[in-house]
Amino acid sequence: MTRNDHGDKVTMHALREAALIRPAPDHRQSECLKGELLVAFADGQMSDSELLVFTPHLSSCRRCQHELASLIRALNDPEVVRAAKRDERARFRLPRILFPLAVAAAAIVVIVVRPERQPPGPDRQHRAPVLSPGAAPVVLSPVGAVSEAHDLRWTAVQGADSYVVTLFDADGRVLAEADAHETSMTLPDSLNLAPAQRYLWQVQARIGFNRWISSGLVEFRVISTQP
Amino acid sequence: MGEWGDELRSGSTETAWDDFITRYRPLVFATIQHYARDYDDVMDVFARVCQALREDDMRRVRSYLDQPQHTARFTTWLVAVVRNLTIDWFRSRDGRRRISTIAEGMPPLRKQIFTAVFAEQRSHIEAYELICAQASRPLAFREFLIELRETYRAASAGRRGAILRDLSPHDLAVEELDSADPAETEERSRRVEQALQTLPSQDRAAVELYVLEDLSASDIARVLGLRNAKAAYNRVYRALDLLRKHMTTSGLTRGDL
Repeated sequence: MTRNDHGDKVTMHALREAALIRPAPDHRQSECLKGELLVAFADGQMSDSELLVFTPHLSSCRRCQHELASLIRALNDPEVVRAAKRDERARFRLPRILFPLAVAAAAIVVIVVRPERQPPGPDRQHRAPVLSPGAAPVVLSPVGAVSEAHDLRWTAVQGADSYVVTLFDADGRVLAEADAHETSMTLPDSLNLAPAQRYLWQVQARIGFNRWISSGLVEFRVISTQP
Repeated sequence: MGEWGDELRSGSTETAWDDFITRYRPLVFATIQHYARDYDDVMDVFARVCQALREDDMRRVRSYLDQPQHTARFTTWLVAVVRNLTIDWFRSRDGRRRISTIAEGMPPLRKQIFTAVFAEQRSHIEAYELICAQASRPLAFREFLIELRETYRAASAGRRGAILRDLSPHDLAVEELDSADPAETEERSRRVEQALQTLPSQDRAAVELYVLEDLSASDIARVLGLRNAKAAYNRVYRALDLLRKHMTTSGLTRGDL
């Protein structure tokens, strides 16, 4: 389809102007779409037959369009998206009673199998330098092509009392998510990162009352160094 | 629904509530904070939301659980409920008072427009006619539109922009309005309306949600059951093309379009 950018803009302008003075709908408010229908529209859960019945009203009623758009704007709020996603992921987490056991088992495996990852000595740095207030966390490693990726490390954020680290595969699926109070996290051994595959990760720092600040999404891939 | 749903069904309302609010507190707070920024406002609305969700043995939540077939995910449903309660709280508790406070800093004409449109929920044309009737000097429609645009800008700015946007019945981008008089604008709008009525309802919904509500193509695709964002985008621009052709043949000149 050939686009007429100027014509489109002018037509949009005419639509906005017309809507500005469009008279009130000639139906009563009681005939407008009920809350449950607007929620179903917003969630994309309308069946074909429901769409056939209710889209004509939506198409001509500014009140319903506005209600629907307002709900969608709330649903698209990054904080709302984050909270909803965390709840959905929580459903797939281990039962509460098993979780401490799993964590303990993972810790034992990390200590026994990779003791070299915990070098003793006074110069071991637990935390990266503290950034200025309000600065987002910055991921340190792994970034880009790396020979191994057992630990995720990032910079500290002043005032942050916890971090949430999320690892995604190249299709955006969440492979791991964990809370941390330090500025590093060891990936669980159960997670096998495939060589040369793209992975993405980010860290979010909690900086106050239900307030989070997020690093950028960073890509890495593990390049095998073995012949 | 998990444990809290089972507890609610078995009648253990107190336990169900504790589990429910522990699990959904972040989502409830995030939704409230979409509209309210002040800490005190957030906490007051949160208290109101908890009261409303808990009353009558969690009647509202039960109404979702009791649906034979859910028409939306629970989190979407909950965001909608919290959104409605938040807006109701602003409207009923201090909407008008707070609106008046915001209007105080505006020049007299914008204050009048603000009161008519935001507080009294009048249409723009109604607001214009009312202000003309009360004015001590003639008010050109063009001047009204310019002031209306500035009033929207002032109202949408700042921390309460989101809630005011929802309190307004019009939520329109009032930009680049250049009409000389209401009769001319009304005539042009009537023809645009006629052109819109020639579109299939799905196309009309797509183009209005895109242009007037500024929704993304992916949101529109989800709402209207289209395959993907590209399908929605194509539908919007095909509709715009049809509208332009229809409006041209109905007498709107190239200058108008």
